[in-house]
Amino acid sequence: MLKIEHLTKNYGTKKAVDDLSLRIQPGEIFGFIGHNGAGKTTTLKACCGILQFDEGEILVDGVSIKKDPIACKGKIAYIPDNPDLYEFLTGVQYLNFVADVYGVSASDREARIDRYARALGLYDDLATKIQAYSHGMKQKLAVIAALIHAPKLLIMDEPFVGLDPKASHTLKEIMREMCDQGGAIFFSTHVLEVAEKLCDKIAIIRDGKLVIAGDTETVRGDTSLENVFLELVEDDK
Amino acid sequence: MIKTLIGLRMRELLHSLMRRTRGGGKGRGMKILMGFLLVYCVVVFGFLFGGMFFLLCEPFAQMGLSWLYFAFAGAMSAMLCFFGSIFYTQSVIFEAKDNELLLSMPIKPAAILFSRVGTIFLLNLGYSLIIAIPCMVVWVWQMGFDALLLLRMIVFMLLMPLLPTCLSCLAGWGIALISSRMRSKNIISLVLSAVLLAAYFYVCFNTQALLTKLMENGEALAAAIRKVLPPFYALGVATAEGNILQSLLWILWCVVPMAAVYALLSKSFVRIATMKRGAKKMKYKAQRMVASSARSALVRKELRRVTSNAMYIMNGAIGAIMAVILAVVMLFKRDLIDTLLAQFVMTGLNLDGWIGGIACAMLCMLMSMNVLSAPSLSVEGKNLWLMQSLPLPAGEILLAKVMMHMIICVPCGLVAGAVMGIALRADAITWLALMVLPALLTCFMAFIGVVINLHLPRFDYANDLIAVKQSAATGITMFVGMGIVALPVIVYAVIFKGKIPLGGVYLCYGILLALGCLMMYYYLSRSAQKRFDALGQG
Repeated sequence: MLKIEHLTKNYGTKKAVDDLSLRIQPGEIFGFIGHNGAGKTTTLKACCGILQFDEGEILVDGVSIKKDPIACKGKIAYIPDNPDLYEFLTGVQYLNFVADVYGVSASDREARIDRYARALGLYDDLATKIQAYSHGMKQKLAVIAALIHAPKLLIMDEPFVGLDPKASHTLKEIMREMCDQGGAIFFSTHVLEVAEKLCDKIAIIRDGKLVIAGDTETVRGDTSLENVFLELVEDDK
Repeated sequence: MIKTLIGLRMRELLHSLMRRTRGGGKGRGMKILMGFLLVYCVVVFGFLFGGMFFLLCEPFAQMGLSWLYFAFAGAMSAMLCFFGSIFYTQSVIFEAKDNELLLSMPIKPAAILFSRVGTIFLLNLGYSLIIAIPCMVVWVWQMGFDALLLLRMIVFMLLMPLLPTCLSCLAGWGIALISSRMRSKNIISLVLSAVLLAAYFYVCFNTQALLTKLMENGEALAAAIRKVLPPFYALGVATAEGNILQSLLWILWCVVPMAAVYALLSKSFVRIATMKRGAKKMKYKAQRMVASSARSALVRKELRRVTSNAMYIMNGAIGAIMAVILAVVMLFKRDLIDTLLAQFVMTGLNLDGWIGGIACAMLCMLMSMNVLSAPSLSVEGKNLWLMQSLPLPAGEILLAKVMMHMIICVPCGLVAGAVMGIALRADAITWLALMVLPALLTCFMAFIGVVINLHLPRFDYANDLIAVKQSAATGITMFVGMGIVALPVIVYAVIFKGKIPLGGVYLCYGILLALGCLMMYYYLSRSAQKRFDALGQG
């Protein structure tokens, strides 16, 4: 579903991402872990076609994001770490805007809004302007907007930050369900327990370079993911 | 601390004007351009106010009412400062995005307030110089050099911005208070802005009559000013005569109200700054949804953004609003046009046959002041990721911003053109020109605004108003707009007058505008993708 090949992104003289290669198959939840400034967000943004990169290739469902970004973006949904949405719109106006852009039929959007907004506990607030939303409510709205066009690939940057425990649990269920139906999820997180329990595969990045990637069990070995991660950070020092 | 805070605010103000674009190389060019714009504004306003003072200075001095000259300058200056800073005051004191951040730091709330009020004072000082300098130059030119008088004038004029700053703070506080209690605060801001604009227009339309009255009934007006506007009487007498009592009174008039308002605000600053401004919560009830095209969704989104911010409309569509007001005034005050024409005839300038052309140029000039599309990309700010992640080509996104400008401004231009046609009893060609040319120019402005903003974006403003009012894209678009109207008028007047009929000029101008629009349409829809993708890249 997502193929990252030798991705390199420079900010001036600094290599934010250095020759990174990853593959995310349909049905997989892929966790992306790294310290602050490791290059996670840069990688995720490059995969969404938001950030241009210097070298390498990214293929979404076999299509190059460089050559046909529009087709790729049509298959992806992205949730950034800080969901800055259009504050002058109400929740439902925003969802309708996204649905219109992705060409979602009226009946499909009605059904999906009803389902996801109720599941995440945002239904009653959909008529309120986003300006009045808390961080968690914006995060929930961003999740619903991401799911409204039933994307094949969901890319999320720290999706659990700001969510209450119930919404967090619901999101995990939705993620699993989406992957069971053949979709793929690529997300970054600092919550290692969540990554350990939820992800089929995990990649750890350090200073833009891939340190380790593979099945969660393989990466974790006979210790915890936290220990593996801390060891890698220690190695760096 | 206060110095640091004022410095921060001033840096923000300057940064918005002098921002170096990413990739470098354009910093110097931009500075030169902004410097040129500044010189242009100074020259235009200098001549405008200088001309007015030129008419008043000598007659007042001959009547022994020199003080009235300075009192009048002070009142004009205070009015300009007040109109110019009231909404800035509201955004900088009551709605600043960094209020909570600064309050969380070990800084006294009074210091934060002082820095904000200080910035408004400096802004007002800038405004007041626009009037004070021509006032001084004309006085020296006509009455001769008097070092003591000049010194008094400089000192008193430096104090003057305290008065409008105080009024702006009070008015801004009132607006913030009313807005916080009203459900639709946008309407409140819009109504208040319209009232201010109407007051401004009233003063502008009546300036000529006021000047005539001032010269004819100087003494009666002097008595009235003494009674109704005692601060400016004190300023006038203190400056012209060096009266110590009036000098003290003027200082008190400036300092005491400002100190009182500052004390009042600093007492409640924390409450004001942390006042919850979120929209009211509404319970959602399921509704039948209707799917529409991506293009109409984008245009609707743009329209919602603009209409949700009264200041955006007031600043970006000022020309359209003024055009409609002017057209209505022309329709109901037909005698004004006749009087104006008669005055021109008296000076030996017969404008018969040119009225249609002049009206058309005026309407085009007003429509060139519409800059809704110019900050439309910058105001995406933190939402840029959203636009860039959509499965749409850049052309669609950018053309939606162009459409938004056209949808709001073109109908105003058409209405104003039609009404002006009726008011002037225009022939068919003039009527057609009054309808088509301003509409075409509006389309041109819509395109050029987006093109300029695409090349000069800024996404790091502390509040939306700065992107709308003070960004380089907005200033340059407005300047280009003025040029695009003034240049053909000058070229025609200097080279082609009498050689080409006005109908031909309308046709050529219309074709040029349409060609410009087509070229920019082609650029935005076909060639802007690369630049759009590069926006916001680190």
